[in-house]
Amino acid sequence: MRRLALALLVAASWTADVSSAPAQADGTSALRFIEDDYAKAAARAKAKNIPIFVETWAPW
Amino acid sequence: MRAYVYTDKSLERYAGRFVWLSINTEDAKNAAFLKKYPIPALPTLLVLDPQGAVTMRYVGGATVPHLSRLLDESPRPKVDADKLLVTADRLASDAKHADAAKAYDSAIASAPKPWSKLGRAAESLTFSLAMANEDERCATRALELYSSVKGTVSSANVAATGLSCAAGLDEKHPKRNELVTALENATLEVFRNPKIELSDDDRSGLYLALIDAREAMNDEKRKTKLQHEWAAFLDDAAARAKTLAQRMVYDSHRLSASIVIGAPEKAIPMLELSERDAPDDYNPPARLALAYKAMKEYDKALAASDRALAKVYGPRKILVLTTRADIYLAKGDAKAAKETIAQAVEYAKSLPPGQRSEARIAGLEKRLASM
Repeated sequence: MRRLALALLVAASWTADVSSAPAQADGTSALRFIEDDYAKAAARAKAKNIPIFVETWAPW
Repeated sequence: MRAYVYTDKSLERYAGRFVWLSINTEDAKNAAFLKKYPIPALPTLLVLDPQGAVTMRYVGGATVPHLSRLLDESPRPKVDADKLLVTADRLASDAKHADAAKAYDSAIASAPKPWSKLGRAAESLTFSLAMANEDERCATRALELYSSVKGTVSSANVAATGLSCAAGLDEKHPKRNELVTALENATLEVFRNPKIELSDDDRSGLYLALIDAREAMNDEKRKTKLQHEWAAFLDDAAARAKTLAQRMVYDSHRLSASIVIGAPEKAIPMLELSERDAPDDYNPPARLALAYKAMKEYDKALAASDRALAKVYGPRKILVLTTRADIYLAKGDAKAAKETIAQAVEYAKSLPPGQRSEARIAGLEKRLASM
């Protein structure tokens, strides 16, 4: 990964928008993410005929 | 985004419109996904149709309003530019960056005015050109596109990516100074426009691009001033964090900033606090190893590295190992450094397809051979 990507994007994993709409008080997601199971998400998307939103991230 | 954006209640209105999938790129069980959808930088956001084809791709973080706009994009192309944008997103998703850039250019050229997707297309084009190492075209197109996206949130990435490309041009390149100056002015314009809703990471990215530019221009005085401003900005952002997760997202950049301003000791209390509050997380000890290395306290650095190695997994372990080798080298223990790089090579080769990087293995083997 080139430095540019590191500078602009790796940092971007912590996008902040504290001042807008209220966040969940307990800091949990407002959306029910399937964690690390593409097969499960794909099966659900096919069954419901709706798209999949994928967020890729890393714990660093 | 996990600490700040997905927690926002206003996003609940999208809950039933998508299946929501989160992929930790460090987790080996996601290797097959990563082989199918290569991820060049984090975060990358994708929308896949029910058959798994990419219909939207965005590399970068997003605020709540920005994410809402991406989610509101119609999956059905209405004009030729929409179709070309999907083609470009798919090429980019296949890591065909030069071809993707051409397709993004075609989409922009055929776009109606106004076109709601222009900002995303402009950001994606400059990023693809940067990934394809086409620095001159990246800088030139960024400057051209900046006037079209001026005043929008997309102007931040277009200007900053273009500036990084310009700063990366060879010192003898005839247009280098002209492009750096123009894109630096554009980046500063974004920076100073209070109407553009910039997230803290957008702003941090702008600082980094501006610092790179001053370094490229050998302007040590202004570079140092910007580095100190960046450090103070990050401290302030962290002080405003409301949860542990929010505070910890600033650790990485705050450590980098404290090292570049020559005060790595400043990061120690923050990282010790994070290690205490998140005892299962490998990041705080991995970062403490870097801070202690910068302070030349090598035994403390190795002890922190031991704690990080006990918890780290995935491709990140390679970085923890190479940092450990650097600590040994700084300490004067070349034998242990060589053994650690050999360990890193072995580990890099053990990663599954999707996480395994041949370029990374080649780099490590080259380093090992030179030791």
